[in-house]
Amino acid sequence: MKKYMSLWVAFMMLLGCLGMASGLADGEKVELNYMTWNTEDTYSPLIVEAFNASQDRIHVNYLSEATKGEAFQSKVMSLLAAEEGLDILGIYSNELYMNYINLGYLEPLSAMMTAHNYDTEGMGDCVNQLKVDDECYALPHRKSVEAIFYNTEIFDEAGIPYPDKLTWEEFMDLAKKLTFVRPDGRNCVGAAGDIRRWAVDEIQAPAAQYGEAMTDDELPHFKECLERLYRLFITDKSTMDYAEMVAVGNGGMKFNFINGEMAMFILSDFALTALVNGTDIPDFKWNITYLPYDPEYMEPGTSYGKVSGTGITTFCKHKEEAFEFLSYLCGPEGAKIIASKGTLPAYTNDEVKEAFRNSMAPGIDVDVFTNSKPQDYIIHSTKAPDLIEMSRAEIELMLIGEQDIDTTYEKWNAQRKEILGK
Amino acid sequence: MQRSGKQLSARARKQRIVGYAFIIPNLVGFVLFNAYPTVYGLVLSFMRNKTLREYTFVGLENFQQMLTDKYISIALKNNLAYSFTTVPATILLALLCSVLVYNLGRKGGFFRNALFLPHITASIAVATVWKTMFLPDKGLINVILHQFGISNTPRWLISTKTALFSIGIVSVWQKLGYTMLFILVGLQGVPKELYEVGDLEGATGWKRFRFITFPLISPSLFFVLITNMIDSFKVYDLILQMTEGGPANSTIVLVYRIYQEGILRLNTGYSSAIAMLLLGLVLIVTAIQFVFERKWVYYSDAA
Repeated sequence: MKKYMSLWVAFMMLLGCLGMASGLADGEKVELNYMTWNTEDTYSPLIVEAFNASQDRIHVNYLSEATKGEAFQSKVMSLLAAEEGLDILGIYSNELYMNYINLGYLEPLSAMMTAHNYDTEGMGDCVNQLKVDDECYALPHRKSVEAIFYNTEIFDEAGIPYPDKLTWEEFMDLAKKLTFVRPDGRNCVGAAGDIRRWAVDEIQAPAAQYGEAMTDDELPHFKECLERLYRLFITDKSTMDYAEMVAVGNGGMKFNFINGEMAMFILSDFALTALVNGTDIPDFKWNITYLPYDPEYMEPGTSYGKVSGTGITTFCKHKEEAFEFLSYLCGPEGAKIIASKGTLPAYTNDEVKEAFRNSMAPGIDVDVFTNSKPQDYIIHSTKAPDLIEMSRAEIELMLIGEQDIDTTYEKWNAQRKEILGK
Repeated sequence: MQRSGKQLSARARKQRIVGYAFIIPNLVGFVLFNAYPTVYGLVLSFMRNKTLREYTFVGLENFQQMLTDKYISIALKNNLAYSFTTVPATILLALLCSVLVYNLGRKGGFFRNALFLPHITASIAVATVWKTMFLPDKGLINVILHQFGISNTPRWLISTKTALFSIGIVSVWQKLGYTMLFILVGLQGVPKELYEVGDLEGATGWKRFRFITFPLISPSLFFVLITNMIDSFKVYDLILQMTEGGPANSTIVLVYRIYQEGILRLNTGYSSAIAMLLLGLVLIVTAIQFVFERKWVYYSDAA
């Protein structure tokens, strides 16, 4: 009897193990962990909530971490090393995207996209921008487009008409005019921009407006981009001191913009969310216009931007379900929620455009973002981290006045070629 | 003469067991959180990671790579410059402050607490406040310097020539109170009778300090020298928060490089090799200090 009893127990245990291996009990949902950085908290939890409500098979848990102090990256790294607890991952930067791919942590999605007949029509070129060696490791959920945000009160104060489709020359002249000290001693600078994109880490962005990429053999217009920065920072001093920019960060610059100490602010659409949700000054008057352009080489409305993607980890146990969520996040449903919070989603249709327009106060020319023609500035190379690190060091030397334009360009170009093995 | 283990009485054996029981929690913590990660880091330094879990043995390749990595040589130079300026400055200032606070007696309590305050302040707050004070045009320091008629003021954190020095100033300010406390304890342990004897022998001022105070507080000074030196090689948080290694890599140090390679680029094998370089450097500097210990540190029970 004892022998049969033991066999029965062993059989039941085997069944139990098989049950665990095969997946879930009846009625139990597949649990997925989705992690992204905390500035996406404005819309991502709402998408997760809507997706969970629409599902009876899948449940997504939302996690986010601050990028400040690299908490997000440290947490992601721990989860990747453990190879558990992370199924869907928001890609914070191009540098990290390349690192995750290099280490084999992002699932190639092309086969799944084909199998699911995934429709990318509403995404324009966004999917291609995330391709590395013809493989897609993430689907785009949002895109950024750069434009000029301007404080209308400062323009009124200076008696200058509001900017509209400026050339770069006009922009710099205007920045100089709008740099002044008020009778009460308060300063106003003409222009500034997101410190990472505009000046240092992503210096390839302005060159991308000419359709040039850091991986090209030559970048004939890169030096012109440097000259513009040099004029604003060193010659005209029509922007904030670089030291002050570093010290106060984008948050501090936004504060200066709102408080009438900065006339024009070059930012992406993502700042709309911050301005709409974060401005508790009811009288603050602002608007948006197109990024300045170079009339010799491009049409008005040409901008630069990049897409942000979300991928599936290679160790995710439920990839099909994860792809289902990804399709929701990056498709029309997710896009509508993202747009309703004043951020441009990668997917666009009339309904999404309407939601984006409705997210803004009346009078804000939000169509600037949907009508701009952004050029992709992502560095499509596994050498991106080295290129960014090198560029930052060289450009910083110029912006703090320790290196002239020619030396900066020559050193930058020589090191760029060395890194790329050209 | 001590008896051998076998000859110990039952009571002594019991006491010994109790003693071991008391150190077990600390020992477990040390093994788990210090010894094991260090040994694991050493093993990883000879590996290259394919993923964060798959490693291949590459021998000394990571160490060879360090020889050609220009950022390592910059970091190493910065580390040495930082440590060999901030540590002596901290100790000298702390010594001066502790003598002043000691001489103030009970009235010195306020200054002691005020000087200790930076040590318990969150480094993010310290970094934020100092970053603002170091601003070239609007910062408090340059505004004061302008008031004194100095027109060519330093650009502090925004110059490759002064950025590391500026972080050093913050570090000295932050560690001054903590270092001072140890020296103060040493000063309080100096028997007053020795000063009386010194007075009778005609020792005043510098001689009194040189021949009575300094030898007796030298164990405290040695302790703060060792701990501050090790601490200075591990500098990271101030740099991350104040300059992020800039401008133009002028403030990168080895720990920052470990962070860049290990956390940002996920090259855990290579970052472990840099960590081993740092460990070796700290061990060498500490060993040198112990070699010279007998030349200047006086232990009263040595005789």
